[in-house]
Amino acid sequence: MVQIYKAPLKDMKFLIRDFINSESNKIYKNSNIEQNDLEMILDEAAKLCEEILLPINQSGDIEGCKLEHGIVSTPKGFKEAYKNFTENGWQGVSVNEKYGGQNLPYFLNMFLDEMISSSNMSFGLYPGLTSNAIEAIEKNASEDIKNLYLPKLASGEWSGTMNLTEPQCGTDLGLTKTMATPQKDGSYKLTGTKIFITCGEHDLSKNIIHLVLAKTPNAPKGIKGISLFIVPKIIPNSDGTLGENNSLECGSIEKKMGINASPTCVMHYNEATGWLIGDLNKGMKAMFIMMNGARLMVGVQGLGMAEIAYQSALHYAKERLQGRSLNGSKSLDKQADPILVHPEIRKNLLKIKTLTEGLRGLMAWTGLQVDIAKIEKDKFNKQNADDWVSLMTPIIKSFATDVGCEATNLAVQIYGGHGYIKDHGIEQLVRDARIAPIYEGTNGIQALDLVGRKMPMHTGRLLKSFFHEVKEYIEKNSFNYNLKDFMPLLIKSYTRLQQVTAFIAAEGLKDPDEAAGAAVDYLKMFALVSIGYVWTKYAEISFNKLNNDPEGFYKAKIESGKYYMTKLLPETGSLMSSILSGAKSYNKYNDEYFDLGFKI
Amino acid sequence: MIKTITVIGSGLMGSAIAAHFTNCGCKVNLLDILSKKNSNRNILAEKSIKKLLKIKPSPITLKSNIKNIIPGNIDDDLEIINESDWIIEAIVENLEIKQKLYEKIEKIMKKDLIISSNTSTIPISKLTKGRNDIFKKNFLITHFFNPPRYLKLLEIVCSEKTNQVIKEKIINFSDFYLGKSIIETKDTPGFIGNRIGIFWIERAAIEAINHNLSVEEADILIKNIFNVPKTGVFGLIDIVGLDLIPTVVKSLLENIPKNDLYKKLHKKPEIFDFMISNKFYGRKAESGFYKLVNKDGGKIKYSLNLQTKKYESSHKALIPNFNLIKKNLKQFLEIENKYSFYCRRVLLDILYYVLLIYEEISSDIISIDTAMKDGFGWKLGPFEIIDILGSDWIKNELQKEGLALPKLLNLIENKIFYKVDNNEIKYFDFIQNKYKKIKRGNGIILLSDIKKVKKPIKKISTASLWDIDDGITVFEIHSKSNTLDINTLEFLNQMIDLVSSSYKAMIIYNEGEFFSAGANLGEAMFLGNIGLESELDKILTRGQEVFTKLKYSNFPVVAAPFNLTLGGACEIVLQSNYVQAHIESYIGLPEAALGILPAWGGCKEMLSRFKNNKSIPKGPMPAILKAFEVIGSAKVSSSAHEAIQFGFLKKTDGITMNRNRLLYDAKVKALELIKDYKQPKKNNYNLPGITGFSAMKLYIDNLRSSGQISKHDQYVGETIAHVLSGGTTDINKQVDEEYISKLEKNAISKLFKKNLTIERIEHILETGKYLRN
Repeated sequence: MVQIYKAPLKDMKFLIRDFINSESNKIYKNSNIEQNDLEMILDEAAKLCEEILLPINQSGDIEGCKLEHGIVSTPKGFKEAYKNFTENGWQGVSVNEKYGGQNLPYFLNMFLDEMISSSNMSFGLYPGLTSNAIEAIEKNASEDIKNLYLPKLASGEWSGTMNLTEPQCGTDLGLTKTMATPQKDGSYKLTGTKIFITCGEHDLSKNIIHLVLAKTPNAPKGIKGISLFIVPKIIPNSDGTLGENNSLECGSIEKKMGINASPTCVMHYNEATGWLIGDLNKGMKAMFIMMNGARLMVGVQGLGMAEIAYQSALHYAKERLQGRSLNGSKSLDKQADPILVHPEIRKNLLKIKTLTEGLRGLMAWTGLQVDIAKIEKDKFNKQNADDWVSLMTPIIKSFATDVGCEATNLAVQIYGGHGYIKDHGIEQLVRDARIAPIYEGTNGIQALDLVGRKMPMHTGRLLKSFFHEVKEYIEKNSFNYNLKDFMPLLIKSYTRLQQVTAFIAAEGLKDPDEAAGAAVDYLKMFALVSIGYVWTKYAEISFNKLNNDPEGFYKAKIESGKYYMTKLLPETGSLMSSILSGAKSYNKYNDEYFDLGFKI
Repeated sequence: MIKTITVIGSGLMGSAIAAHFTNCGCKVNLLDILSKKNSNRNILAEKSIKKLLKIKPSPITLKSNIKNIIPGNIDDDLEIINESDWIIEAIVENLEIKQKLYEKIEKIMKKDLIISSNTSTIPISKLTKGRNDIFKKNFLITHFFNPPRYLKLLEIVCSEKTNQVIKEKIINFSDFYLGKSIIETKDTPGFIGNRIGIFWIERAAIEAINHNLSVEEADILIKNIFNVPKTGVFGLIDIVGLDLIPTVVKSLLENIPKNDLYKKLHKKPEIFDFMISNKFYGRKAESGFYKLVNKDGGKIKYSLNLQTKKYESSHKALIPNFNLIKKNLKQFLEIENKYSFYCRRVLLDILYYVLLIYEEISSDIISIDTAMKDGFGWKLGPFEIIDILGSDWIKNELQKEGLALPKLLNLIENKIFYKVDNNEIKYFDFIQNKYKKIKRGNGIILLSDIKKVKKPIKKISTASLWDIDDGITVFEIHSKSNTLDINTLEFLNQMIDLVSSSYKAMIIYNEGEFFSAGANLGEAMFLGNIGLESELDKILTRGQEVFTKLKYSNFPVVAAPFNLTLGGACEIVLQSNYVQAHIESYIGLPEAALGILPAWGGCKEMLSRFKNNKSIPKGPMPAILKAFEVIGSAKVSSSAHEAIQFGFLKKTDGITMNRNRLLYDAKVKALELIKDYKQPKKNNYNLPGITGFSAMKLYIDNLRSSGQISKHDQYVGETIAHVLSGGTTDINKQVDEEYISKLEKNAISKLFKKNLTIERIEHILETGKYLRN
């Protein structure tokens, strides 16, 4: 048996047709597409993922990447898959038409990325990094650079990377050492070593375009002296044809826990030629623009991993026969009942299911806000959409990747010993999913971003985009009889979140460590309430569709929602208690006490 | 009593001194030399007077004060000195010219004419050389610091001949009417302020160059080490004028003792010459160490690169471990980098210099600390800084450099200069080698003194209640920017009950940088943003309730505002039973500029104020229109005098000229009020309702159509007009205070929901500036 995955097309189409449709029309109008087109694209993407990418997921993990003489070769089948991927235009889906892309909505891109992550997370990293590079170039580079690089990147002929980390600097990029020395012709020579460079070298594309953070000789100290450079593996001529090799190389690739089919490279730059992107010393600003998008997409990976974990575990739970139901046998014709009859198995499956479906809606809504912010003319509406995205980015990145880890682990648990051995490919999911809470800013950093930056920003204006939307929804629906099992629970958790937010804001002003101490719990609480809001909306929509529900899709939504509201949302209560008790028990814990149990 | 004075010399200092005398009601003759080129013989003095109107910050508390300065020239009008009670010479810093002028004065002066010189460096013995005994008896040095309205220090130098009665008269007048903090100094070069101050400025500038710091870096360090508000060293030179420094330095160097440390360390930075030859004098020349360049409708700040001598766009300095300066200065100074090296060098040089010359320039350490605080804006004087660092630190550092220890360091017990002992604040008197009680003088109570020896009656993190004896309490706000949040309001509420049962009066007062910036808008915004409108509503309601309770409590409440007193703080002033304001009170209701309106009783109070104001015509509309003008145009007074004109203060409210006397004056008033105190009667209003609203709307619409206000201004204006006209009432109905409070609350709740209002508040919280949208 292998990993089981069918793209959740019905759920995605539900989101497109019923959940974001109130606002997505604006987007369709603006980009000359119709809802139908989107659904067809999703169908095509599903085929690609199920038929091309999924079959090489497990084999790619086992084979891994190899480095020989500075050249990285990808596992069997990856070249062909990449060719298929690029030739069908998947790389440029959301890229501007001006550069050969299709300019499709961002929320659609999130669905595509989810499918790719589910079916083959390692593969997804190659085009994923290219997308990040495209975004950074499009938003910061000069017209000349855009015209030269973007069409090739959008077609996938060339791929891209992001070079941030160095041996001595991970989260704190102010410690960057890589040096960029200006040349007379306006270019720079870059020298230094970058590590953890995803897809820094490989054999899928004809050229690899590195975006590198470096310092110029007289730059200010720390984070304010960092600039962004574009450094191609092969220096292109002005007509886009390939010129001479640049002086950079991949020194080694890491041996790692998961995502083994994507190379994680050590890159050496030895007076490599590069060009400045954006303003001098404003590299972090350029990075941050890109990082928001990248963080959302890592959240999508978490969701993708949870989805394949769910489908695999469900398949197994239905097929595996062990023991009998405590309420009398269910499958008398068989030797035993399928393990799906056991309450704990059902609860765990529903946990993954409701978290993934809820997250998918939250992400689609957030992706839509990205699209709205791009086209919205009204200043305050645009601001509100931007604020929502900035606020939700750390929440989605962190919570969805945690869900990815929890879901894959639960899947192993449902598989039991068969999950722990390699045959079914379930333990691979755990290993692959484990990177997502770490890269693009660890989840701890995401929580600090939420509490330390996003929360106080503009005196809480970002929070307004969420709190006011939910408040208005509550005011509108508090007497909706259909929602009698939903609204009281939503209101309760929402009020808790308000209280805790005010508490952290006040405590944080007195002692930043108090706010930082509560950050991870707070983020989780925020995510749970957001998803509670999504489930309540699902229920509201579904109640209106019950008269035409042949498959019971909407009925199932309502029942799933009830599970979420009663089983998962109440965790906001314990999180609140924990937060309100303050952070002193660990912040003020004596450093000496940590090792008293074993120190001699 | 001094009522008329003559100032001779109408330069920057002379005219500003003249202006400041008009602030306390004096008449001033301002004489300059005769203009021979111009047919108008008084042209020089006249021009200087006109210039006063343009100087920022303004040297006068009311524009009309300027009428009390009468121009003249020395040739035609010198006789006028005999119609004056006091003449101040503020001419060019040149001994010979001064002596010639004194000779002329001596010939015509009446016997009891008081004469003083504003010299900053020339010893009195040289000035009065050759004068007769009467002149010498009536002569002293009164050295003002620029700008005289705002810098409190006045150095007084007397000769052996100076009549003590005259001296006391000048000191008393300067203290009570000019608001000066006065120190008597010895007749030594540069007296106390400039002797140390010029040395400090030069050391700080030279060492900044030596340590390869940018002007921003040096300024932010100096600003935080010495706690000089706003400027730092280079910013200060830009204000003073670089061209003025060489004269003072030259005069100092010529007159100080041969072995003075300053002579050893003095160096004229090359960059000063470069700047002077290019006329980069500072703000008056529009380029100095900093300059502002107009670009794209905004202003861009540039600063001079001290090494390349070229202007570069100015960047905020980033100092590693910056927070340590405030948390643990000593630890900061131990860091091994150029920033700490610089601070250590400058601090050590200044403190060492003071420890070498203290006996020469002063008879006590307090005068030296006062001089640096009130003349140069330091938050702590040199001896107070030593107390913070510990004298061991200095000893150690001096030993490291192989310098002999100044004897004073070995004399002090417990290694400190100031201490609290037996509930008394004491200083080390180096003449008698013992600690003596600090005497504040009659009519001065400082809360900072009380805080050293007493515990508050009650305290929360943002406010405290103090017992200042005789049944009088002080309610002190000490939050960030002294803003009022919900907890502070609740605390005030409880304290009103406490005072009501156990004390006799409450003074609202503090000794922060300013009285209060008003309501904590950040708190309100945040609560609004997270949808906690109920909490926002609570802030509004509690504010109204507590301030009403304040006004109608069974004891008198005296507000003692100073400096910024805005919004909610102004509403405290309006609802106190009496106000004793410092002259430098910038009181106002700027709410409209933020897209809101005063809602803690501001509208209600302004309506009744103007209704009861006899200078405003009777009838329903004039008072409303006046209130509308003040609230609608977000007026903030530039002095207590102007606050009376705007109606924030009543004519019966008190004004204190000397900041140090504010609390005492307020207490005197409180003691007077507690004798058979009766709480005020509640106001009733007959308001015109919709007809009055229409009149104001017409006016607002005109402003809008002529492009003077934005659409949102128009909306805010109409909302204010709605409240002031009484909403839906009509002239025949009587409404009470609660009715207007309700209108205020509904109106502000409505405005708080507007995006443009939120944008304005966000902007001021983030930038400190008003946004026009």
